[in-house]
Amino acid sequence: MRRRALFALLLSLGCGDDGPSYAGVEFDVISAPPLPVMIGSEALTLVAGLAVKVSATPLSSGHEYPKKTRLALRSADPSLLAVFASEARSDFVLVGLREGTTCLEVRIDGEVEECVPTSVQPPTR
Amino acid sequence: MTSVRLGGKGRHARSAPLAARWLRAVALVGAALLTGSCDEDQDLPGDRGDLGEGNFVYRCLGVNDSACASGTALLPQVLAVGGRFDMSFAVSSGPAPAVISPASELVRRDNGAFEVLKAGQFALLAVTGNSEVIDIKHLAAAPIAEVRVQRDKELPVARLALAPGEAVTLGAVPLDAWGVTLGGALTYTWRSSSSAQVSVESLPQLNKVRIRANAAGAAALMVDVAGATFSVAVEVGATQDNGASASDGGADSGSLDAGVDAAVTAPPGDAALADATVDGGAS
Repeated sequence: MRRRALFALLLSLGCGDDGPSYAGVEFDVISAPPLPVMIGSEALTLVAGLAVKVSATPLSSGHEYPKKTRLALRSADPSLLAVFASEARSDFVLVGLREGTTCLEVRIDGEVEECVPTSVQPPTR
Repeated sequence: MTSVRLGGKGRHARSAPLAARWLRAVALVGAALLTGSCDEDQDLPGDRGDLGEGNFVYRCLGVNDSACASGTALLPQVLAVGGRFDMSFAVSSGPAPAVISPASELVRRDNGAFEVLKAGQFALLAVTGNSEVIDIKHLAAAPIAEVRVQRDKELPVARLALAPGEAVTLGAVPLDAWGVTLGGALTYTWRSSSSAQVSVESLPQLNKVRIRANAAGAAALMVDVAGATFSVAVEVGATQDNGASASDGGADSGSLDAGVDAAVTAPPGDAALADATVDGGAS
């Protein structure tokens, strides 16, 4: 009996669960800033002073993330890049504050999954 | 669906267009309601935000903002570096969100107003009490490249000709390098390079100044604003083609044509002023 329970435990550990496995984040640009910005899943380029609203969706290599999944974006350097929440849970407003490079943390249910390299260009007219 | 359409020759064949008419009617009513709500938004003062959730309303701080010269506060195309203004956000219903400036190196909130610190484009955000952004407005700022003066509703000019004894009230018009009038409240300090020719009669902090032509000759009406000095050449008693030689002290009182321009020059001996003064001859 005990051996059977141990076998079941090992089996469950070995197989893992069938939940989602983080494979990146997809951004959809919602607003149009006056100067072009580059929003990609692997890198972001913003301009100091400008704001852009994006919708972020976590991508999974396994099962899709359930709707209740909490995705949060955080700036690794809030003096260079500001991130604001929006009314929709998956929408965020990114603002370049000053020239430099930093990264945008992607958190799924509180866990940091990756930090997307972000470059903030100097302000231009 | 298909079987219903094929099988229902009589009744269904007639009822389908009827349903379509009903659908069309419902759609028209819906569209009318939507249009009505849009009109409601259009009645709001100010300029629509980038996300279309409401309007950003520009507010002048005092009378020293050229954007408010006409009595109504219109959102300036470009703001002056050093200019101060306020902005609110109007929504058709519910509590009005606050307006913040996240890029504090370009524009900062100080004493209940925004102050432009650097040239460039910047975003103002309308945020709710939960710090959620509901709308965005991008504005542009540029340094002052030239200050012209304006009499009443006349076009702004870079140089003036006055008759001896004539007194005029002038308003300052700050322009950027492309000739765009810059918005934002600014503090002006006026003075004359030669009080023998032109004297400044009014309070010096305003964007309006009253000057009096005293005696024939050339002088510069100088104005300090946003950390730079600009000048407008004034010829008293000059003829139309007399030019603007600041050293020309000759009194030609033959012309009383106050509408004639003379050249813009920096006052003699003021090297710092020369950098900040734009040659009005190019305009």
